[in-house]
Amino acid sequence: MRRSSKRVNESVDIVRLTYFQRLWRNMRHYPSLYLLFIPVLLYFLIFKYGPMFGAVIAFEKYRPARGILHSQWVGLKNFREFLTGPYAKRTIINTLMLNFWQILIGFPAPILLAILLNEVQHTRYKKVVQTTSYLPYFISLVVVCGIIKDFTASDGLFSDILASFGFPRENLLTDPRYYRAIYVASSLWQACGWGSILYIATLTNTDPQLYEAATIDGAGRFRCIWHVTLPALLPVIIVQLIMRIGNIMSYGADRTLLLYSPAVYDKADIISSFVYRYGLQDLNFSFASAVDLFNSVINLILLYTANKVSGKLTGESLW
Amino acid sequence: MTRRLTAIFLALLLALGMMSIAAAEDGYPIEGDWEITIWCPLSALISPYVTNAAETPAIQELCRVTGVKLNFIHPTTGQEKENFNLLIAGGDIPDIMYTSQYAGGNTMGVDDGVYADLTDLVEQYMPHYYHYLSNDDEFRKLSTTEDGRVIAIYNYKDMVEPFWWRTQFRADLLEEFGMDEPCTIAEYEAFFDKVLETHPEITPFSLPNDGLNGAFMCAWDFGIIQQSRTADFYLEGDHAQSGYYAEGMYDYLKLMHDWYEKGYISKDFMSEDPTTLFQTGKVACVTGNGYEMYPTCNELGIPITCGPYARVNEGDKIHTLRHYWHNNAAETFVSGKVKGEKLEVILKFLDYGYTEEGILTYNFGTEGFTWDEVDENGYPIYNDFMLNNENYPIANAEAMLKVHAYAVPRWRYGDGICMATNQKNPDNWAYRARWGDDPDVDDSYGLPPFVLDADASERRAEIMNNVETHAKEMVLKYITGAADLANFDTEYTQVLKDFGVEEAIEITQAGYEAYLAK
Amino acid sequence: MVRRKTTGDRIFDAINYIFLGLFMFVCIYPLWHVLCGSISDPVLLNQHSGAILWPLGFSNGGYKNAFANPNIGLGFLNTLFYVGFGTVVRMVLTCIGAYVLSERNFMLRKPLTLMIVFTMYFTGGMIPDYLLVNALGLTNTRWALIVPLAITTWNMIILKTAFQSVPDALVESARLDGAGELTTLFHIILPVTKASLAVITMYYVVNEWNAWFKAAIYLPAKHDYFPLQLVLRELLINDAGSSGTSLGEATGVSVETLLLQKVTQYAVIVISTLPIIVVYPFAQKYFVKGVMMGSVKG
Repeated sequence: MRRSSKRVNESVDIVRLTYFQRLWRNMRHYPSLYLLFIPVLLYFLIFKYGPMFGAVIAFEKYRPARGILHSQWVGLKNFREFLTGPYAKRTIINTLMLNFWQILIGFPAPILLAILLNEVQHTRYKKVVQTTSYLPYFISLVVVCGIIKDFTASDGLFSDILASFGFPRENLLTDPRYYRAIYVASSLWQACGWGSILYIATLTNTDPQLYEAATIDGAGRFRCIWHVTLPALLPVIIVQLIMRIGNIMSYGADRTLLLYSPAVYDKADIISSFVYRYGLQDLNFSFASAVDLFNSVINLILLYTANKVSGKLTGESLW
Repeated sequence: MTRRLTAIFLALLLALGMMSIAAAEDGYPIEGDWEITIWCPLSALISPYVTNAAETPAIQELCRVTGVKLNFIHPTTGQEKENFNLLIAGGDIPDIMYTSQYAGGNTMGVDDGVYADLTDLVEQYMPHYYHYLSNDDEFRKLSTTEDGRVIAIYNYKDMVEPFWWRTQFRADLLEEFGMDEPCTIAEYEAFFDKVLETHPEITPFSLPNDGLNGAFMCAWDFGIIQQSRTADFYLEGDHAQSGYYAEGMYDYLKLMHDWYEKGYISKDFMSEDPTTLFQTGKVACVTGNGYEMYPTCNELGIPITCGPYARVNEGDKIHTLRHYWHNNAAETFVSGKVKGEKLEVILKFLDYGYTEEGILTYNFGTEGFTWDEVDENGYPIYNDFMLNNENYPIANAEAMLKVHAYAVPRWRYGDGICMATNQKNPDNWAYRARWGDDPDVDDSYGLPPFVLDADASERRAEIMNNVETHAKEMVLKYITGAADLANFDTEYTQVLKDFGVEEAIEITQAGYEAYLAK
Repeated sequence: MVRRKTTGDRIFDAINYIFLGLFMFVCIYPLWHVLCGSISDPVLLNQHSGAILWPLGFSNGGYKNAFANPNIGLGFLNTLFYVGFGTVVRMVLTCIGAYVLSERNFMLRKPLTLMIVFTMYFTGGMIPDYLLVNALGLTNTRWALIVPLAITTWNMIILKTAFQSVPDALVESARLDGAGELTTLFHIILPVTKASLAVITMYYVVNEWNAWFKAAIYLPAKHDYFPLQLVLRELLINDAGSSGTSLGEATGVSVETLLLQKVTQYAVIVISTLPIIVVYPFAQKYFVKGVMMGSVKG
């Protein structure tokens, strides 16, 4: 009688191991994993989590000489100032719209380019196109925006082209109707080649036997792409998309500041550019910090949602 | 015999000693091995040659005559405000801070211990500066806070000079049409018409990017004639007013819209720099810095001439010229952490700029280095080393060989007298001076640049942020026709009112009255 | 590839090649524009508008002006240090982190990944970052641009995904042969994911090459430690010249400076992007090479 109860007790004990007991076991089984990770962990704790507490600036009226601990506490005032300001709605909508168009057009483009390049058999041509495709990325944003301003002027290259089709000449960049298109196009042009690198690399890792197997099964070119190339890219695509969605609120500051003008504030003024003007004028660090925090919260929510949805739909997720 | 010799010897020594003391400025060079750190932006004129101002011959000369070793901390160009506040946040406060800006306002800077309160110290340790502070009412009012404290040192300049911001024209076109430089609106339109007619490849006119040009706003008696912030606060009679809210804005926008429709104004004015447009020959008339455009256009081969400020009818009076105040910016603070003898030395060093010798050093350079003789008025004549230096073009030499307009505040001569460029190229100055004696133009609308106290300043900035964003948008829309001027009252004036522009004006007015009462 | 080419295939190929050719032209043109501009005569350049198809006149004034600044050489050396040494540090840490997080046996995988991804979205901001770096004594030292920036989370996540895609069978077979963690990492995972590693290395290299903001914040007093991009940026801003400074006075920037502004800007762009463009083709061979590894046979 006793022996059997002991055995029953044993099995119950095994099932009831606590989380920490299992963790300890794991650490003993794979000690080098844990040891290896220590420097990485230290880095994140010190340099990422350490300064995080400074985000409390968003709730204060920060003055540098007083320091973070002694500046006056104002609670949610900075957030309220931002969200109830007359331009809050407009800037938030502009941010969302800009991201919508940029993701719709700018996200698939590098993927498409990678696939097209993958289909090129002539290695030398492939190499040349690839090398040139990333050149725009290296040109600094300031210069690119300068060139864009030049080309979209009423006597610039694009206006020349439009004029030859009979359209009237005007400055395209200061016209609210065209601003977003120009923005997305310029971003696309600069980032497409560079963004395709990751996908091309992933395709390089794909087993050519998969293609052979598909061809033997009678697949033509498009079927090969659909059944071999795309699935190979899917994990990377999902991860990139999830992370891009998690970046929405903070996207676009630099390019906007270089391209926009008061004439197009209606469409062009996004949260980051608005805060830049508002915050920089009076060195209102607290205000900028509060909006940063607000953006982060929204970004995180978007990220979490995207991750969950992706996990349900495709089985791929970040965590 | 020996006793006599000794006596004569001692007497000679004494005499020599007294002579040497009398020769140098009283108290300079400063005794002891003092080092002072100065925080100031790196001037664009010296950055092609050095990374730190201490390396320039000008500063080395300055160290020699003042007896103090100077160490410079320069912020990164473009990040001055951030760099300065981060430095403070980290706990390091430089001894002297030149044109810094403390987050929270400069009076807060004093409260937080960053800046020193100099009110009780100025009289004793900066006697020469104090002399101007106590004798010049305007200077005193502008250089002290609302409650009369001295927290910063400023340049002093009481010479009025011709202003360099003026409307420029293509001289060859004017000659071709047989016209003089336009003065009234009608004359401008005649000129533009002719340009459109005979030179279709040249656009007649362009505005600054924000669409606001003080040199035309003055025709309706509002705004400020200056390069930027032309719709800022000014004084209408004895009451403050905001350029954005002034009545004249409607008339100004109506005219500009009219001109835009007629094709007088470049369609790219919102994104292109007017000076560049003029200098590349695309536009026939812009408002710009004549002092710089004149030599540049000569290099580029573009004939240039300038004209008077616009008015509606001949003989109209203009009051909005930018006013020269005796307090000439260059706000300089002293560290709030320094005490004792070091503080005295710092103040004495700062005072040098207001002593007789110091004035010459800062404005002209040291004797024997950049100048050897003086002219009949007592002003130094630059020598060849300065004017034709083999290493530095004249504009850069101004900053490399003498401490011109950066790093330390001082008593300033007018540009016409002390700038070496003018001695080398007197034509530039003559060009700048053109139309400077127009009897119909004065600066009576100028609002003194007094400092509001922290709360008022914050509230006003809050209001004006919204006001300016809206106003700037609408201005451009009205000019291009994207918005209809018929709705000006509801879409513009009323909105500004709702944002509280009248409150901002009252805050400014209160500040002005406090200033007068000092 | 043993597939016979159908007509459809040929048409697709033709369109593909033409499209990629156009794309290539659009990508090259702006750099060509800048390159031509940089060796053009300054006066002609200032007067020109629209596309630049070939150099307008010839002048090395822009380059002379750019190199006359003594700090270009120093900035270049500094950047080499930050990019070279920095990338080594970064890749080591990133690989370790990505590897551990990709290991299925690692119990803390999910919570740690979450914790790390979280840091991409919540940061203290510029001020707390600076205060920390300052408190650690790193400000105004070269380490300020190495240590605080040792890992870019985004890159680590990408690498983690790549490591996860290594076929399980490979890892298993190594384990069965008695391989420990480090051995697995070096002999199995890294060789198989060479392409992804090259990509991430390139990401780090290019990012660090172009970086200037952190240097502007952490190295304010030591202009001698500035990376090349920051030196060039200062050059661009300063050369923009300011008629009428904050003092409200005309400081009279020299005519020479104003004239040379545009051509110097272009020269500066060429100087700062050319090295990377030259280096890239060497890294590229890892992408275009056909697949030979990743074989699961045996």
